[in-house]
This record gives sequence, C-alpha cells and structure tokens, in this order.
Amino acid sequence: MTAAPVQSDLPAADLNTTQDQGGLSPAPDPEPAAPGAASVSVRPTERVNILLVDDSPGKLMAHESVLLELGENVVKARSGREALEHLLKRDFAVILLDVNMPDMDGFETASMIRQRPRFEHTPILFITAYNTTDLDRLKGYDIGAADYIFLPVIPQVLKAKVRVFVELARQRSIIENQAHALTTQNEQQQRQIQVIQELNDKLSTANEELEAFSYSVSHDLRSPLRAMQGYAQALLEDYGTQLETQAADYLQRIERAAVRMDGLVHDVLAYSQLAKAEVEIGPVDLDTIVQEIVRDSLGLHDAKACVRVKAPLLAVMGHEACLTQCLSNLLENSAKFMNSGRTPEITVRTEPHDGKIRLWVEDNGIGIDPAHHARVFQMFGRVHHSSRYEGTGMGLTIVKKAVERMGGAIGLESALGQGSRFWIDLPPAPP
Amino acid sequence: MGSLPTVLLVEDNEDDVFLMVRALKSAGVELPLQVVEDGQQAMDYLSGTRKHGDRSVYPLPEIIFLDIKMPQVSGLEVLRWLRERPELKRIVVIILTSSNQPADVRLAYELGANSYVVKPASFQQLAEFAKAFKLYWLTCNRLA
Repeated sequence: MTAAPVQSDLPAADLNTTQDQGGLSPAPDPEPAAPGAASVSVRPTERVNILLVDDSPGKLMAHESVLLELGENVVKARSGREALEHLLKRDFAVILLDVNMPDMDGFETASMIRQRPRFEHTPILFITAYNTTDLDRLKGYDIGAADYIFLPVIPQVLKAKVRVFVELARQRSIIENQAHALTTQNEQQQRQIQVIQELNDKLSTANEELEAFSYSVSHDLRSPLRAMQGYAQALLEDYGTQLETQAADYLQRIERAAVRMDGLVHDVLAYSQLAKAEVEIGPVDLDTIVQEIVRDSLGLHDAKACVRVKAPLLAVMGHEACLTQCLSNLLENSAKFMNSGRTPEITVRTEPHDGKIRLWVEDNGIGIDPAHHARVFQMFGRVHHSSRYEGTGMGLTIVKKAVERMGGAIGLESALGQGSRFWIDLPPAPP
Repeated sequence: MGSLPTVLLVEDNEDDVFLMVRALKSAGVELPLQVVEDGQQAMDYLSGTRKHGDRSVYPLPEIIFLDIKMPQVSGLEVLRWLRERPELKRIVVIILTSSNQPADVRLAYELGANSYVVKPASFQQLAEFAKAFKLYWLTCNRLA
C-alpha cells in the first residue's frame, strides 16, 4: 500500500474537480453528488454516497456487497487518508469507519473529519470487534460517532442502520431545496416591493407637483384677468359718456376677452384635476343627478328647454361628481347648440348594452358633421366660431376624461342638421 | 361701539384693492376702510406698532378682509397670530383669495376664519359679493 502524502490541511475544494489520485480505489468512480453547501444535496431520485473505510480488502468487499443492496453509491477507502481524499471530492450521507486500522485508526480519522466544519455533521458509524472496552466506545461517541456496528457484521443490521442515515440525508436535501426556493422567491418579492415603492413615490411626487401647478395657475393666472376686466368696466362706467362708440366697443371686447380667458383657465384646471383625483366608484342614482342639474341650470329652465327623462334611469357604477359634471356639460351643450328660434328638446334615457348600461343624451340641435366628431372631444377643439356659439372648447374634453376615469366609454352619433346623440357606457350597479 | 366699525383690507395686489374699494362703494358700504399691503403690516396695524401706533388715525378694525397668498408673511399666518391674542381674537375675518384649493379652505377654518370667499372673476360678481356682505355681515350679523 503506497502511503499517500499526509494532507493535514484540507483546502475547500470544488466538488466537481476530479483529482486523479493514482488509482487507489479499485471500484469504479460513482457519480458525483450535485454541487451544494456543506451537507448532502441530492435530488430525491439521485443516489446518495456511502463511504466505507477499512484496511482489510476482504471486509471492504463484503460490506460493499451488502450495502449495494440499498441501491446507493458505495465508495471504498482503505485508509484514513484515502477516506479524507474522497471527502474532498464529494459529500457523503454516512461514513462507516473501521476502528482498527494501521497509521490513522478509526478514531483519529473521525477526529480529522470532524475538524472540518463541512463534515461536522456527517454521520459516522464505527465498525469494531466486540472486544473494544467501554472506554473505547465512549471515546467513539465523544468524537462524534452516531452508532457502532459490531463484527462480524450481520447484513440486515448493517443495512438497517445505514438506511436510516441515507433517508436522513435525502430528507435534509429536500428541505434545503425548498428553503432555497423560498429564499429566492422572497428576494424576488422584496425587489418587486421595492419597485412598487419607488413607483408610488414617483406618483406621489408627480401628484404634488400637479397640485402646486394647479394652485399657481389658479392664483397667478386669474389675477391679471380680474384687473383687465375690472378696469375695462370701470372705464366704461366712469367715463362712458366721454367715450366714442368705437372706444366703448374696444373696452367691451377687452372685458369679454378677460372673462373668456378666465373660463378657459377654469376649465383647464377642472380637466387637470380630473387626471389627479382619486375616483371612488360606487352606485350612482342618475335620476337625482339629472333632476338637480335641470333645477340648477338657468339655460335648462322651463320654457328655455324641454328635458325629457325616461325614468327610472338604470343605476350605474360611477362617481357622482364626475357624472354630474358629464351630464351638466352634455345638457348645456344640447341647449346651447340650437338653431335660434327653436326650443331645445333633450331626451335622457338608459338601456342595457353589451353587459353595460348605455346612457343616452339626445337632442334636436344643429348636429355635428362626422368629419368633426373627433375634434369636439379634443382640448380646445371647436367647430364653430366663438361669435356664433360661445364656449371654451373644453366641455366635451372634460366629459371624455371623466368617463375614462370611471372606466367607461363615450361615443357620438350625429350629422349636420340631424341633432346629436351622445352615449356613455358604464358598468351596471349591482341590484 | 357707537361709531362705524372700521374694515381692514389686507391685500398685496393693488388692482384687487382698487376693485374691492370700488365694489364696496357700489354696494353702498360706507364704513371707514384701511388698507395694508402685506402680512407684516397687517400685524403691525393690529398690534398698533410702528407707524400704526396712533389709534385715532388707525382704529382697530372689527372686520378684516384677508388675502392668503402674500409675500413673506401669509394671510393664514396672520390669522393664526391674531386668534391667539385676546384683544384681537373676536374680529370677524373674511378670507378673500384666489385660491379654491380645499386644503386652503380647511386650514382657514381650522385657524378660525369666519368666512372664506374666492375672488370672483368679474367685477359684477365682486359688486354682488359686496352687496351680500353688506346685507349679511353688516345688517343681519352682530359684531362682537
């Protein structure tokens, strides 16, 4: 037996490197275990490794043939040193050590094994003759033996004892795999939470900036408009008699422009606030909303317009303030865009449509040419000259935005001279 | 109080001052009107310090029209300050501002404003406000 060089300092070796140690082991090399941490890491269907250490070739072969019946890999070593070399290459579920060996005996080998943190918990079974003293046996347990197997070996006993540790190794590896998977999942979730957090922060900042912007717009843009309008009117009132008709006309135009500008600022603000507001969806009573709008709007009163509501209007899921804004704008439009001399006739009705509730606002007004259908929903989009029909061009833009915020859809059916029919689709409220 | 109550207008925008004076006049509000153009001067006036020391020239007001957004000291700071002072805390304070932000409205009432009015866009509306002010605050309402 050639003496292998003493390796008192075992470096942490990569399991996958196969070091050819000069053909010490006559048995074919078993498959290496899957790379893992400092304990056995195999898939449940893979075979575990069992290390058999004995200086007697006869005993080695005899024990090997018994253990092979377990269906696992058996690795043989004929000395303590050889055992240590094998341990460098792969992990073992259990090590069977002959106590009585020349050079390094079983106890010494076990001590050396136990010194490495990696093999601190690898189960060791000592194989020994009956004639060991109690002192020796205790020494074995002190070093970390899990059990003793007494010579001559009874095959069933050997298999039974080894099988326990094989199963243990398997169970441990299953648990480790699960723990690893959980850790990975956890890390992923942590990352996702962080991403969401960052997005939330960005959204908050954007919202705050929009608030500040709205505030500035509201305050600073409208202030000069008040002045323009106020001074123009003051001029007219105080010096009106001294002004020529043309001069008075200019002043009136200045005044109207200021009022118009203020309306635009107001509508742009309303639009921008729709984009930022939290829209809580809930069941909405359309009948009440329409009644209140008609009651509060001067342009829709009594003889000015005939508003027919096909009650009861079906209940929808939406946001009350948004829907009030929508219906208010639509009804005012219907009343406004009329041929002079005729009374506006407006119908408000609902019907089920494709799983949603479709709300119709239909009028007998001037109608909209299909070529302009897209434009009327655009910001400041107008079809008519402001001298003919006044307005900011934001009414339908706001309606569309509000409908979108409620998760609904809006559309238009109309042709020139044929009135207009606007529809809004919203989810039905539960009964 | 036998004599007519003084109204203090705290407003940094001179155009708005012009319009407010005009509106009050058009509504027939004939109360003595004092004007200061920022928050610090408002506090000086109310505490009677510096140039506002002479109460016969600068009487303590019973009604204050208070703008919010002013340079350096804001209207709400003035409001908070005066509500802490026993000799000033009962003055009627009407916030008169461009801001329609709910947060401003809430804070103003929390700090003790009696009323919150958003400056209307047109002069007609301002004149109507002045009329309503006269009817409610000067006729129906009792001042402390």
